[in-house]
Amino acid sequence: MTMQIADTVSLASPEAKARAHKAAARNNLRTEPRVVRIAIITLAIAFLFVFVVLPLVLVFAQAFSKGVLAYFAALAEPEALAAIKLTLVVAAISVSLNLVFGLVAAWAIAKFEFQARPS
Amino acid sequence: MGLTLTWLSVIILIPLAALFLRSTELSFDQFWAILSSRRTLNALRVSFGLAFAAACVNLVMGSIIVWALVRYRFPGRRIFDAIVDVPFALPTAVAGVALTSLFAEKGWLGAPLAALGIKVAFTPLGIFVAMIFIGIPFVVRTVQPVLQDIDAEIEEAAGSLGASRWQTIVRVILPSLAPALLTGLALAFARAVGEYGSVIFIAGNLPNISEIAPLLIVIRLSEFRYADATAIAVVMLVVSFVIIFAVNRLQRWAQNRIPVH
Repeated sequence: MTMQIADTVSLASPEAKARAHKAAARNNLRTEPRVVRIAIITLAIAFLFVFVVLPLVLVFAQAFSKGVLAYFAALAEPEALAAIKLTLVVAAISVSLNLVFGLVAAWAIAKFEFQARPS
Repeated sequence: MGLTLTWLSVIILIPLAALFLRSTELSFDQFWAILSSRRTLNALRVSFGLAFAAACVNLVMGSIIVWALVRYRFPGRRIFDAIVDVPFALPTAVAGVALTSLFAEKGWLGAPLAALGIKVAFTPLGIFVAMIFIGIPFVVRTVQPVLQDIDAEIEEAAGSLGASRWQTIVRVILPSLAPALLTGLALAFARAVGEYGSVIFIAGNLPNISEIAPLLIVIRLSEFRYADATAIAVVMLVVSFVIIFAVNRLQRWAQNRIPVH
């Protein structure tokens, strides 16, 4: 195994060696010690788990707590359907308006000079 | 540009102007009496204090999450990346009920915490938790693209010129991220101050202790005390505006400190 590596290294052209060396250096310069990496990932996952995943799981657990049939029965009620429909329709309209006017506003703020515009 | 101003006027400025106009119907003494009442002051203190604390927690935890999502590869990274948006999409009332049952004394997290003597649901701590929940995507989503865009060469240059990794992060990367971090902080704070739906379920809503200002406004409206409601709303608006303006200034200052870009 060690022989093989030694062979490939010695066989590789100086440019390839330089490239490999550069890549390793680049990795070293742009990352943290293993302990720090693991700590950051653990912290991020733990936070998201407690504050986002658990509430979400709880919502699903509650929704299906009386069984899948009860869930769909509740969903099929005319009031529930009407509410969902209204939400979707209103969201679709306001999102498209926001998209258009948001783009226009962003354009105006970024491209034009006028009074009361943040410099 | 005319279109922009018209649209902004219709959607934002005119409602706000109406609010101010309404509050001018009050004499200054009346206005002051409403504001200096203990209940109002406490509600404002709860709202702004907890919102600021929650925004600070979100700033720190949001940065850690962004760093993990952008810089590291770990199993489930994409799922966690997607899950950050859940607080945006979940109806706030649903979020409030879910957080309440999670942190209630018999809930999944509430029970172990209660064993330690910590009560979360129906206390100011519950408000704090709800505000963290709704604020986290603002920090993550504003900082994430900026961290992704930072050139690898800048970091490599810092590293090869002898900076330690910590120095590179604090003195090279952090200043580039500062404007985005401040924007995220401001957005999370603004959202937490105005949050109503998720907070009222978990707060317990005891006057002077865990009653937030938006709830007090709703209570005053339901009592037909419109003047009181308007006065509180105007104060919230002015304070929020001052804070956001200050953050904006700070952001400008942070941006000007970056020599490149």
